[in-house]
Amino acid sequence: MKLKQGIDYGKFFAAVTSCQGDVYFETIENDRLNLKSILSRFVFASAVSQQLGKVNGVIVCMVKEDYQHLQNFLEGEK
Amino acid sequence: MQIFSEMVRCCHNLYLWHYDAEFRLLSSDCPAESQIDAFINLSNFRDAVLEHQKNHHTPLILTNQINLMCVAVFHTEEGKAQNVYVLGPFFIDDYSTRALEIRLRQLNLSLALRDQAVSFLKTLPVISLSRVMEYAIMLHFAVTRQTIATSDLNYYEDTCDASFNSAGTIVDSHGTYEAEQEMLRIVREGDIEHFKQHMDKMVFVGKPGKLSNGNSSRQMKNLVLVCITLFSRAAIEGGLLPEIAMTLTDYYFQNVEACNSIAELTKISHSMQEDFVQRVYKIRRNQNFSKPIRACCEYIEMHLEEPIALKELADFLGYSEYYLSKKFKSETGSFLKDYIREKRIERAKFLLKNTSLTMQEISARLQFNSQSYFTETFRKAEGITPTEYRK
Repeated sequence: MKLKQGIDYGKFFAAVTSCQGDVYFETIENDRLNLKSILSRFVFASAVSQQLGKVNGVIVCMVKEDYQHLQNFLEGEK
Repeated sequence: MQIFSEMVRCCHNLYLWHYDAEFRLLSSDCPAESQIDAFINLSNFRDAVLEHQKNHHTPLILTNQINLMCVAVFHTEEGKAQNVYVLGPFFIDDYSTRALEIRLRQLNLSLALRDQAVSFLKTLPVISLSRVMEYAIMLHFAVTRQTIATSDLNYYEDTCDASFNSAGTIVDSHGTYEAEQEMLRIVREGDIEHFKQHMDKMVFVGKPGKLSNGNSSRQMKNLVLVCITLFSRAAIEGGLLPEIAMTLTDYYFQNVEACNSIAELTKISHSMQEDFVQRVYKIRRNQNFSKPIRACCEYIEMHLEEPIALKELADFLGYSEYYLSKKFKSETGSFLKDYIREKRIERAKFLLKNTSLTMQEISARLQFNSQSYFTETFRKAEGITPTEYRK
């Protein structure tokens, strides 16, 4: 699912930390960033900052229930 | 605050963030506010800040697992948290940025994403730890109108993801020869009066030498180890028994090697310096005692963690037990037994602050018959229990 624009990334990362499973950000170039890793978050945040808040990719949760946990940050329904 | 922020930006590409008491962003002077705020919150600084402000009002220097840092300064009114001002994000030395760049290049990323990360990395400011501390003190003054010292600063390092990989200077011994010599003089003379003020001014000036190739944690530890060696030699020159100085050196070396965070290293460094200065001060204060009584005091100091019998002390000095007791009392004003107990309590205070030994272990080590007796003796001497003291 895609990330909403203009979200509070600090709260987003905090929500990811409290997810049960891993949460990935997958780009159309086949990058796969595990957002539980600080290094991956750095890469993700760099992309966000340089693409002016827009990121071309989707969030994939390994545990289905985690989508519910992140629903405030994601577009659409799962 | 605006003037402060603009002045800082004359030197560094550093932004000021204004959060409320719940660490919700209110405003910032960063043009890409919502994006760069993400870097302040890569790891769980929010919880650390909220926890810190419950009991402290002095600045907090935060480091995450990739050594990205920021400074948080607190505005309180009548003891209640109002706002948090954050300066950052930044790195404190080139090792961190180089190490991070290497890690980024090793990641299996598309060229576009990797290049974005690396180029963004290069825009983040690199500031010396000494300058960070100055900014923290200045920002605290700008917010509260209170003057603080570097020893009032607090540290938080988020280590839950990675092993210790901090960087920067704790004690600087390169390009600050005069300050170093002054510090060694203070140790050699046991000058506790000037110790604190010099500690605040001296320690973080200049640029340290390169004591490690690319490993920032090793760099920092090596700096502290150098200082321990220098200070122990100065303390010996000041009259501390070489054997005690060497024992302390071993003790602090082991503690430094076991360290996993900048916060711990800073604490050890401060404790070590104060310890050597205090010991020399006490020795010099005892200069009025006769040589045998000074030797008796030093013997006690060396054997605090063993049983010390009056007979043993008397034999050591070549006196009868009766004569030693009388002589000790007349020169020092204390009974031997009381003096030994007082020294053991001092050692207990040291162990409580600087080690993670349990009460039981400290009590046994210092030859108390039981933990409850140790607790009671400590409480009588200090007015609080060992547990309370440790807090």
